[in-house]
This record gives sequence, C-alpha cells and structure tokens, in this order.
Amino acid sequence: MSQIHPKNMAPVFLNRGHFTNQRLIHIPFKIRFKHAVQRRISWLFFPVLAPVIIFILRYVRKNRIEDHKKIRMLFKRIAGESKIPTLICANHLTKVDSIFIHHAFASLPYYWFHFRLFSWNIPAKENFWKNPRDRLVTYLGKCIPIVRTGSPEHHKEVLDTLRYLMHKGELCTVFPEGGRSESGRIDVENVRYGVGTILTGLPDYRVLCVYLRGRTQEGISDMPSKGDSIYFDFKVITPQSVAKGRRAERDISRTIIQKLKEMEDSYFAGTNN
Amino acid sequence: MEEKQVKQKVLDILKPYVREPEDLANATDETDILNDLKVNSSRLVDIILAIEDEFDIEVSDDEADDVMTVGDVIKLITGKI
Repeated sequence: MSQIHPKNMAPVFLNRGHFTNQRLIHIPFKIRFKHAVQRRISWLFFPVLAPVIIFILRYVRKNRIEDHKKIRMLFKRIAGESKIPTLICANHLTKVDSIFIHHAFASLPYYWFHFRLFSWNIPAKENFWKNPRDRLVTYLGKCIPIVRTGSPEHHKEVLDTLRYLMHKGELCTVFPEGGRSESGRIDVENVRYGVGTILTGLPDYRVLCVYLRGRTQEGISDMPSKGDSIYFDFKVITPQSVAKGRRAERDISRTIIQKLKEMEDSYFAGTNN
Repeated sequence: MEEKQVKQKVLDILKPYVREPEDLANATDETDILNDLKVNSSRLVDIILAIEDEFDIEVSDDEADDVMTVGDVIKLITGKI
C-alpha cells in the first residue's frame, strides 16, 4: 500500500473548489503582522471607543434601527455559529453606514467576545487621512484604507488582505458601488468587480447583502437625519459563476448588486415594511 | 485585419462607456482612456472582456494593467491577432 508523505499533501482548501488559488489566500508576513497588531489594538480599545460612538448614535442623534432584536438574533445564528468566509455587501448612502451595520448586527459585549464578527472595512483614504482623529478612529475601527485612484498593485494588496482575513474567519464589509449611491438609489451599472475578485479566490464563501436606509433619507448625506429610524434588511446569498477569471468576478459582482437592487425595490414597494 | 479596422472596432467598444461622444470622435492613439475619455475605471474590465470577445483573444491581468491609451489597446490587439 502506498503511503502519502505529509510533504505531498495539499492543504485541504485546495481541493474544495475550482476557483481556489492558494497564492491569493496567502499574503506577506509583514501585512499579516500589521493587521494582527491592528486587530489586537482595536480589541483593546473597543470598550472605550465603541460605547461613545453608540451613545452618539442612539442618544445624541436619536437614530434607532428597526427590528433590532430580530436582526441581532438572526445574525448570531448566521454568522456567529459558522466560520464560513463571509462578506457583508451593503448599499451606501451615508458616511456612517458601516457603523450602523456594526450596531445593527450585535451588541458591544457580543463583539468583545467574538471580535472576528466586528467586520473590517475599507474606507477611501482620501476621506479621512488628513485628520489625525479620523485616522485614529478608523485604525481602531478595523479599517484598511484604500486609495481609490491607487495603483493596481495597491488595490490587489487590499483585496488579497480582505480575502486572507475572510479565510481566517473574520468578517469584512464592502460597498459594491465603490462609493455612496449618488442618485440615492443603487446604480446597478456602477458596480465594482473587486467584490467578485475577493470571492473568486476563496474556496467557500457567502455574502450578507445588507440594505439600510433612514426612513426620511432621500439622497446621500454625511449622517442620517436626527431622530430618523433606520430600515435594515439583510439576505444571505452564495453567488456563483461557471465562468473563470474576470468573467466570474463580473458575474458574481453583478449577482450581488442585483440582489441589493431587489432589496431596494422591495423597500420602495413597501413589501418588507 | 488592418490597424484601421482594429481602431474602429475599439472605438465602437469604447462608445457606451465614454461620457462625451465628442471626445471619442477626436480620439487619437495617444488619447488616455481614463483621463481623456473619462471612462469609469471600474468599467475597464468590461472593455477588456468586450475586446476579448470581439477579437477572440485572451488578455492577461498584467497586459490589462498596462493599457492606458487607445494606442495601447490597438497595439495589444494587433500583437495577438
């Protein structure tokens, strides 16, 4: 009987899907170390920073999320009980959408004990880098800055990092439109294929499509209106494509944006309200 | 296929992604696709895929990254057909 030498054994994940690319899941030690340190520091400062932000949202801005208990219960069941790489894809109307997504999905103590579920974000560097306070807050908020007009190498590094973090069980949030929805509605034609690039390099994944919107929100703004209640809906999908390479990335990205558009349509049709 | 024909096909492919049709009408080999034609950078993938379909060629990521101008696209295509 032939014996399989450990040296000849491929990592398990190599056999789980034809899009898997081991090279893409591994990132340089320097970057892994940088984000491991950031994650630890974020966790340490979380009990100090997060309550202040939530206090501002709930008691100063008086924004509340509709069906909050139900959302948290479902999220715990979906994300808390499984480590399948999960990407949160949301529509984008205000600068604080990612904070509302954090706040909607779990309580602060839950995040403290399950910090992998406090998702990583990729804000545009040009939006916050000049202000030291914003830089600090985004660093502590598990953010990886991206330069929108950056080189393909820079974009690849960020996407590879997100894929690596997801593979390790961390959640990540992206906005498939690449920025806020200028018209106030999801622009299906404006989808960025980076979301597909992240996912096609993973052996297994799922996407949490999130649609959130202040009830009085018309177009884009920095924050939701004071006192506005936030409609929040999410669906889990596993977009797939039989194509390969860029075509698969495009198919997957389009499936996600179409799902978000459907969710928006059902919001305006009032079917989920 | 002649370079002139390739250029015409490339311009036809670019047409739906260009904001100002006049910019395309005045396009030369030196015209920058992102800066001069103001094509949304996220649509470059669609353009590359359309080129692959139209000319029945494959374009690698590295080759796609090097494409900046209309002339670059024509050079890339003529080098493969």
